[in-house]
Amino acid sequence: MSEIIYDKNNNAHEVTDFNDDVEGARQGMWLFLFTELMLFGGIFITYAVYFFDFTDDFVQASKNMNLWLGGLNTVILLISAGCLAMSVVFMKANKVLESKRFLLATIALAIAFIVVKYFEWSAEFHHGIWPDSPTLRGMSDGANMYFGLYFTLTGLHGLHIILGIVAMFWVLGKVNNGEINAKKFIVLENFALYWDYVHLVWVFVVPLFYMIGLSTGGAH
Amino acid sequence: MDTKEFTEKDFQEQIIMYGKILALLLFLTGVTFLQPLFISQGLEGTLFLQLVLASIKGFLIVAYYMHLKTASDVIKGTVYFTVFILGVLFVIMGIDSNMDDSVLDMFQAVTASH
Repeated sequence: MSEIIYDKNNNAHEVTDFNDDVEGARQGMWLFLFTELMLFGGIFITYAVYFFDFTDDFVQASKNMNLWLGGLNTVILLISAGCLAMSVVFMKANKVLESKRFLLATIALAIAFIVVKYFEWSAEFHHGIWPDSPTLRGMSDGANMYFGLYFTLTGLHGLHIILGIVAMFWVLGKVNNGEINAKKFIVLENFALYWDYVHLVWVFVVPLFYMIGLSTGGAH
Repeated sequence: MDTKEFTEKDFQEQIIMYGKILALLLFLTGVTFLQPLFISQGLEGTLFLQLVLASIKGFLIVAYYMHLKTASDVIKGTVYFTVFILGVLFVIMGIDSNMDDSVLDMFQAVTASH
């Protein structure tokens, strides 16, 4: 049985396709980001509570972070978000080839982010720091909490980056077969929303995990 | 289907806008990493400055890259409501984590007197 909708003049129309509901698709994506915000928000709340309890330990543990690699990843993610925004704009303007190039650049930068993160985690493993490692068990409770939260948050964030890379290849396939085009680009636009959210999370990871170790002295 | 006409003028305007926002975000990222070198602060000062910088960057990302500035009222309402709920959660957790035995004793004394 088909569904009927009525326009403002009370004329009946049969609904044949929901796929063009752009506003609905946008709202759905924002609702998904709502759940994501609650997920990462919960970790940030946990960070806030334990930062209050173990302030000096958190600051000391933060001094072990590699600022160069953290900074490099920040710039990589920032430029990747810019590339994806450009990809959407070029798609809207029906410049499909340029749009694909920016999408490919975003994929390359996302892979670069994961490679840098691999080297960063490897360096920490090399120093004997991983969740519940003997070295970490020998450290303070606060350092254990700090690194536990660091690996949880950056691991979850890295997982989002990996899923994003997979999704970008899927989006690229849709661009290649014409399902995403200048008239129908909501999938690309919604993916850009997801990628901007992943970028947004990283913007708050940097000060809380990387930068507090550079303060002059502990809590007052 | 996105039926709104996307003109060459719109294209040029959006390219310029995204370019400006990208440049601004790169500048703020530079300030984020250089702040402890040039504005040496204690923990509170560093944390405050860093979170202010992160919040400005967050605002630029949400407003321009995520188009919240031009989004519909329903989407704006969803986002504002989420941030509000998260804020409430932060306040509740903050109060809970700050509550030591003396506060609990005081609360119990007040409730016992009624």
